[in-house]
Amino acid sequence: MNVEERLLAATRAAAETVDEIRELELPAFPARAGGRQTPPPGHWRAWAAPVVAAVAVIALAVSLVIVKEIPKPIPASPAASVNGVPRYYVALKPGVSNSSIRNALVVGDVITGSTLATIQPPPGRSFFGVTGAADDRTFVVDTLPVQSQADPNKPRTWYLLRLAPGTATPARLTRLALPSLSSVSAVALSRSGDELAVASGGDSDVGVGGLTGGPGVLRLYSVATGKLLRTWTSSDQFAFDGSPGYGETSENNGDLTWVADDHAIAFLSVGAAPGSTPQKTLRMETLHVVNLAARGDNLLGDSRVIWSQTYNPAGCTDGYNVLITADLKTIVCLSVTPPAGYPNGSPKKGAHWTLRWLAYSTSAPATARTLLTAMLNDEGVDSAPVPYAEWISTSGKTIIAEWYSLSLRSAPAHIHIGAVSNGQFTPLPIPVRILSGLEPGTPFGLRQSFGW
Amino acid sequence: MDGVEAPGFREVSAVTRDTPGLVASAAGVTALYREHAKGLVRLAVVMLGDRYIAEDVVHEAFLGLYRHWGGLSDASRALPYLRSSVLNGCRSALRKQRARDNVRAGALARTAVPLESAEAWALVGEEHREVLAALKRLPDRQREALVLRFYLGMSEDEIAAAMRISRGTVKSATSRGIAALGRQLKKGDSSER
Repeated sequence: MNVEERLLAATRAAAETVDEIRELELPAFPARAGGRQTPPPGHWRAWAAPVVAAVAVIALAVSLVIVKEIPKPIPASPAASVNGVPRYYVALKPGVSNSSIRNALVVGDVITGSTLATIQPPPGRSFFGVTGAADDRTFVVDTLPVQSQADPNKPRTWYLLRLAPGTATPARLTRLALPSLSSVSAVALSRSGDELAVASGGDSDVGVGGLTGGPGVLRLYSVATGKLLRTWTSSDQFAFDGSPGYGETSENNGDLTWVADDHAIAFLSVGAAPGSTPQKTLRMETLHVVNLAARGDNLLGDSRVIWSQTYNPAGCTDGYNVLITADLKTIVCLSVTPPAGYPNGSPKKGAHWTLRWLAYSTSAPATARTLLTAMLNDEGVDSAPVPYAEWISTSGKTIIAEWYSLSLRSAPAHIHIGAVSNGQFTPLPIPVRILSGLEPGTPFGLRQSFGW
Repeated sequence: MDGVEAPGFREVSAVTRDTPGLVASAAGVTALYREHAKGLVRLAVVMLGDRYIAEDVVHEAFLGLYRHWGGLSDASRALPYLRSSVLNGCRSALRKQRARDNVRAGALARTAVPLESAEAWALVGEEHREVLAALKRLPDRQREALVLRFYLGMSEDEIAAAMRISRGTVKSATSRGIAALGRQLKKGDSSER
């Protein structure tokens, strides 16, 4: 067993020592800490109502400021909302059955906002990851065994999903002949849809990112036959970016990208860079490109570095996703600036996060262009901003940006997702329930993965 | 993995917020308690290593919910509220536990054996005890990130919200925690040989 598996087993064993628990004894009626009695809930609601209303007014006012700070927002017509964005997407639809996670798939249309199909997973399985080809009709999805919580170290099985909008069977799922794989950290379907790249492994002993379980491996499979075409293996001091399981969020799908007309694959790795003292290291993210035409099977030795970053308050913030265009000329990353004083104390009225989507040219990496700036209210304890760069066009002129404030105590008030092009933000009509994954009973609100 | 009960992951089904009055709030909180308290106590035990403090933390969370029942906007949010309260309660309890340990420094300084009953602890098994002891020795941030990630199955964003740290820090804390845990376990394995 690797460390993660031992940890899972030990925490569950400790938890299972709890069998019976004592009864809950409620006071005669709700009381504040210290024993002071409070009026019944109805009264609480009565006095709280004006306060809530006042807070709502403040929140609305702040929201208006936020909207103003988004460059030229809001859509004109549905047709204009595309801006080169693929019309169809495939997203995980989180679900829970008998305490187990069982994700379905939703196929959606960003022009009409409609859902083409909802696909239930095979018996005993849950959909976990999704990646799309350039034709906007071909996707590869994978499944994990149904379980009480996502365990990406379990072996995955692979399926081809083909879309045929406007027909009697708008989506068809076919099992692929690829072998079951575990410890997967990223997948990417080639733009042609013919080959699937799978990143797995990576050694977390470098102290940052990645998985345990030995060297990182990049494998290339034929989608048609399931045959293994190429394998690259890293040294030990290497880790793919991402936490265990790319299916958790779409960001991890961006860690592996087909580029240069399917002649090369870009991958994001993390490592440790020297910090202020020998004991303090910095998280360093590096984008590599491996050329498929070249010989060699050394993941690092036979690839070239085209971009890297460590913590930089003025530039990209580490830990958020990085996208690269297929022509290798543009990189998009996220800059996340917390409110003043964060994280100490309660948020002050009007405290907000500043989120920026930055574009760098690989030929002039020192200068960034700001594609989008958004402000997000700080909701205080148990909340965090969730920004993504979901997709980037071949030329880099259009991206899909998404952001919201995640609160563990309440559903997100607003989820923004849209195309950013020429300084304009155009919302995409994707149902909020798909965006948030906040189906009733879903643990916390497992986020979807998108394939575009 | 199948058949393992995840802590408090089921839908809140027995409660409707529209039922007025104290009886309804007591009934609602009691129903939630019956359905989810065990899972939440299990979470607290993993975090704290102490069954009795864990139960206290969970009771406090339910009492807090009872106090604020009228302000609950959506019954389906009760469970996240409770889970969040339990996590906060665990943090607070750990701080107090550390303060006690400091007072007793030299005598009962942070021991690898939790304040669990010996009988229950024996059921855990030697191999798991070793992992739990190593987990407890980790810095707070790493331990909490690992428990939230691997026991609760929370996403990085959810952990960032719960711990109020950035996503990058979650990644670092998780991977550093795993690496440190691996080193400790390796050390333990080699010292046994």
